[in-house]
Amino acid sequence: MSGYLSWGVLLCGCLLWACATTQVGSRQYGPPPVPEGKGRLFLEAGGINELNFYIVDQGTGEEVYADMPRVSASSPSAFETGSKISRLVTDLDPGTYKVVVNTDIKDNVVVEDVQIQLGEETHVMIPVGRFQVMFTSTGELSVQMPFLIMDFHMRSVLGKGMTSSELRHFIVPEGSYKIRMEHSPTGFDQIRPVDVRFGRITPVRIGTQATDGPSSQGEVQQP
Amino acid sequence: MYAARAKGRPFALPSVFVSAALASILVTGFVGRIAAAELACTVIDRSGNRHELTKVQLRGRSQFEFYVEERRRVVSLKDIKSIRFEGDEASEEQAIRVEFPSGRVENGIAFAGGHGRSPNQDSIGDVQSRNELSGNTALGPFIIPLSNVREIIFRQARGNTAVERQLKATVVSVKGEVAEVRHLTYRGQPSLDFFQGRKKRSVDLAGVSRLEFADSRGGDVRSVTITLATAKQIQGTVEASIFRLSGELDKQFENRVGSAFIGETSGGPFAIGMHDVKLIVFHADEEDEGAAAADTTVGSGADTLSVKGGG
Repeated sequence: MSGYLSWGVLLCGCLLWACATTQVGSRQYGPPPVPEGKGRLFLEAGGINELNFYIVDQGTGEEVYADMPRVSASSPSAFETGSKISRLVTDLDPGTYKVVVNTDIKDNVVVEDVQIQLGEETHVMIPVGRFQVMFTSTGELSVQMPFLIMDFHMRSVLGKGMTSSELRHFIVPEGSYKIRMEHSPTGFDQIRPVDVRFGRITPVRIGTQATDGPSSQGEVQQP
Repeated sequence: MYAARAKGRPFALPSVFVSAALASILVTGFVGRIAAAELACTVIDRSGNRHELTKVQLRGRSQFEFYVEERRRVVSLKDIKSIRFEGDEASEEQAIRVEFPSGRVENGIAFAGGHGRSPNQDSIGDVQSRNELSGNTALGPFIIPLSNVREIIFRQARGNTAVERQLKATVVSVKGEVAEVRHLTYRGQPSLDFFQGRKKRSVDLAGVSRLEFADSRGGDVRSVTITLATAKQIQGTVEASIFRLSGELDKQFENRVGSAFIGETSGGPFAIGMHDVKLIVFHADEEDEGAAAADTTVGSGADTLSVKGGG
């Protein structure tokens, strides 16, 4: 009996040792512990892993952290990288901060009075969403077409965008917008309403083909 | 006694230590907080019911978007004293009355959603924005459609903010025209947006003493030197394109090109485009309106420096 017990203890010890020495990526089980003397800030953006943002110390007015991985929405070379590692985490000294997120329109998302406590994690919700423009062309127009992002009542132009042959998302604050794509030489002019919600991606179709209902010819297939 | 324990009876940990160990595991396992704006308000619906809310958000945001004289305004809820919806419940757009802590009142319109609308056939997934006011009550989460809201009274409105401070400045155009402007804002907002390379930044105009723009050579951007009230200088660029964007409406084009800085002079409304401004000097002390310097606007008798850029 004591022999089986000792073999059992030895087997358990080997299993524990194997688990402890397993090489895993530091990201597989989340970020490392909060460094000494710091607090950690998480930006919750509803599934978005990277944003252009910067953090300002409200006491001194100094910018303490910035991350600008995204290129301009109107740039023809941008596309979604599909990175699964969130860049929306940073360690800061305890204090009160203001988080400013630059979106793809002129409106910024500002979150003030963010308290960072020593050794604690603070989660801040960033009310942004994404939309995607799915442009289909019959050949008259390029796949990369510029468009304007306007407020829902079309009283002001909030930003510019560019469609892409690759997957591309545009990040804007939650709300209702309109996008307008116009190409004067061909007479192409399309306006689409876009509703953006936190945590959602709104696909919008714009194409040179008609998007009406069934064909007017009404072909009937005979059995 | 100790020998009896060693013989077979298992060592019994004192219950105090076990409880302490469990408590420490529960407490230190994960300590996180959800930071949220502690904005409290009283919501009065169209039936007259009053609701006391905290952590208020309008349409999912802590800012309120409305239009005053066809000009879009986005103001933080913390800078507003009250909002009153005076339109019909079913109207998608409603007339509103916004009151600020200083007593200033603005009448305009805001999007309230009405009774909802059908999603566009080219919008996949039936995603619709939240036309609602949300917050927390003592009984739990609270959501009310904006169309059912009559008035919102904020209890923690800030005073003496950039939105309230009526900036006074001397504006000099590239042609040498000078104007004394009150209530100067950048596109209706109290902060100036500029770029430092790819970084987009903004600076509160209330903390700025001087804006100097480099000579414009017809390009899309202009260099700007921002001198803060603390004598610190910031270099950056601003968008100063005068070309019309494809799809841009006439009014949008006029506002974008010809109304970068807007305000009031003694002769009437003031507007100047980013491509036309040379220097802006903000006055540190607010002067009485009755003792204000004479308006020295030079031009063809016009009360404004509004420039309509060619496309």
